[in-house]
Amino acid sequence: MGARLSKMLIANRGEIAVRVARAARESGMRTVAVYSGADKGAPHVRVADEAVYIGAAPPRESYLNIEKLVNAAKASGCDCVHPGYGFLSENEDFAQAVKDAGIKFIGPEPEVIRRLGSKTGARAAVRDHGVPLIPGFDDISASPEALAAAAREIGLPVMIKAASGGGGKGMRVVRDPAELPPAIEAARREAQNAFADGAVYVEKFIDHPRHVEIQILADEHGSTVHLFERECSIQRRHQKIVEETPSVALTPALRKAMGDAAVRAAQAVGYTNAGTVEFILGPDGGFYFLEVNTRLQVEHPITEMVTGVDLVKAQIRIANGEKLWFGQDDLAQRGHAIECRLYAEDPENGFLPTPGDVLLWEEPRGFGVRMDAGVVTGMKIPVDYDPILAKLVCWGQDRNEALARMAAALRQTVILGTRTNLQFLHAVVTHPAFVAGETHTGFIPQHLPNWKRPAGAARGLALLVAAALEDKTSPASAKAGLGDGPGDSDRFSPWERLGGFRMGERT
Amino acid sequence: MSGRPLKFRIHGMEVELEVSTTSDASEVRLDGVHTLVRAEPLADHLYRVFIGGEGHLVRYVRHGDARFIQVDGEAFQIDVIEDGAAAAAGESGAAGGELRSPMPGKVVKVMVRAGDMVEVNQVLVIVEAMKMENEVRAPGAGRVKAVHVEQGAPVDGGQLLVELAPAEKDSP
Repeated sequence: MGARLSKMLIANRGEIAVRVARAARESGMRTVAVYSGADKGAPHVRVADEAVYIGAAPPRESYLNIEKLVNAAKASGCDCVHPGYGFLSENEDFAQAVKDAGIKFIGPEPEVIRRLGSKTGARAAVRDHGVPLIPGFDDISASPEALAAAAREIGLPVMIKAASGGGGKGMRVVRDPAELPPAIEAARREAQNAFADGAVYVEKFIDHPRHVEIQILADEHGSTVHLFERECSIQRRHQKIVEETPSVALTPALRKAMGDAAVRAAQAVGYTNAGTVEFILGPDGGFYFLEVNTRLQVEHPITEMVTGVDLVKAQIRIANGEKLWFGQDDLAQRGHAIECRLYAEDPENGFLPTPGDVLLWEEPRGFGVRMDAGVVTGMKIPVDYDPILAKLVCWGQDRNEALARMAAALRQTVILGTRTNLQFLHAVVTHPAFVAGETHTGFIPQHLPNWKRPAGAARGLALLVAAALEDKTSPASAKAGLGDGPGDSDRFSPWERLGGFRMGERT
Repeated sequence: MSGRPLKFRIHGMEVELEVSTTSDASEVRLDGVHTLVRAEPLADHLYRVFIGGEGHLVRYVRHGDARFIQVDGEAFQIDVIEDGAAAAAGESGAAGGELRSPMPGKVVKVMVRAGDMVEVNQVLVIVEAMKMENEVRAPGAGRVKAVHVEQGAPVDGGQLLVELAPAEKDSP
């Protein structure tokens, strides 16, 4: 084992880059941020010891550019790279390029990322290791006719999925045999367009499924443990927005069975570092392997809250060659944690993105309240990247307390200047069906379709407030009010600087 | 007493109010109801506003004509409509053959040129933001009168993209 890792390049942006930097600093390391032309002075740049400009705003020229990232790591003298989630975090070429540069990639080996990168490859890898699979047919070289025949044999409904897919693209549910041939054609076309790979496979479709995943940690000496489940059933357009742990759907026996299966899946491929094994859980308690995410998950903080394990620090210790410092029996879930993802999107307009100016940002605080954010007052939310802004995580002694704390913390979160899903999240966590634990992946279409914010009293209140403040704060007096206090020049920045800006104009 | 008229837009609805201000309070008429309101500044962007005697903590930011308000945990955008100003075409979607961007973003593809005949539901422009593509489609058959954006251009939410003239046979 060589010297301990001492300087980390964080190959990411936004809240996850901020969160990773915190763990690196706590681990006694120096940190280097990277940023694109859209992220000058962004929150993640402000928390790192150094920052390297890596290219223009489009991801291909910056956060997805392997060469520029590796060069940045070399030039700044980093001995390790943390990829965060998204971008290049599950790209084996990136992991390989980092390794070839003599730099430690914080994650599994490139070969393991490659094997698990294809969903069919992942299924093949775990099949013989006691990991239950959804009945399916994954001969991707089969003709559409053979796929349709296999689908009929499995029994409808079936799901047609892209072999290289993700994010819901190339996925289709078929309930009627006559629909099979056109659906297979459409799925192939969509997959070809989205992933440059038209290969599709079919599998049994589970009605009202829950999405339950198991966090694992594996050291480089053969030890693997799981850190229990996260239920991520609340999704819009196949994207998770609310996650919690423990899942109300798991009994201790089922939790152990799923945890053990996840550990076997990891061991089957020689997995190292942190990873997540995703399962689909049927209403009958049957669970089926979906895929392995070979990186830190967005929703990892809820696991940290109930287990007390800082997963990013654990990733660093494992990358340092340390043996796992706890065994399976040392781990327990304490209390209940829930996460809400704050997105720059408009739930009243088909969840379309709402990039724009953050004129005011205030975070809730208090016991059991954690905000992982990539937002500051005065920033412009770029159009070029994922709309995630922040993650609000609340812990409670039990689920009811966690939910109540979350509802209150959402109300204390202030983001003004662009629309977000903040109030929609509040509608989810206070919905009677959610409170009752009746979660499944179709929850939002079932319970909150075409959601609109209630018109009622709050709107009248807002109008009265606007009228009361309209004369109280004429632009002149608002400006004058800014000068009182320290850091005068900064106080002007948020909207004075943004004041004349309109998208579409270039200065 | 006659107050100062104010015109606001909230969630696409226009609302008229009247405000009469004395030294430390205002009387606001909204939907025929008079309410006494009083605002105390507490800090930058932070006010305590008494509405009919009950206090509310309010976050408030001005940005051009927009007033961003958070009260009782809910955020609102209220736009001030200046006297005599025509209602701004801020809303997205089709209005009289004008196709507007459904969101702020970038134009990734312009599929038509001025003079083209288009069919109902035909994709005219694709706007992308935050990894999500949105197709702007023709609400009816017609002829493209003008295209106001080009590929790669950034656009604002509600910005005019394409003007359509309805097809002759569809005209009443």
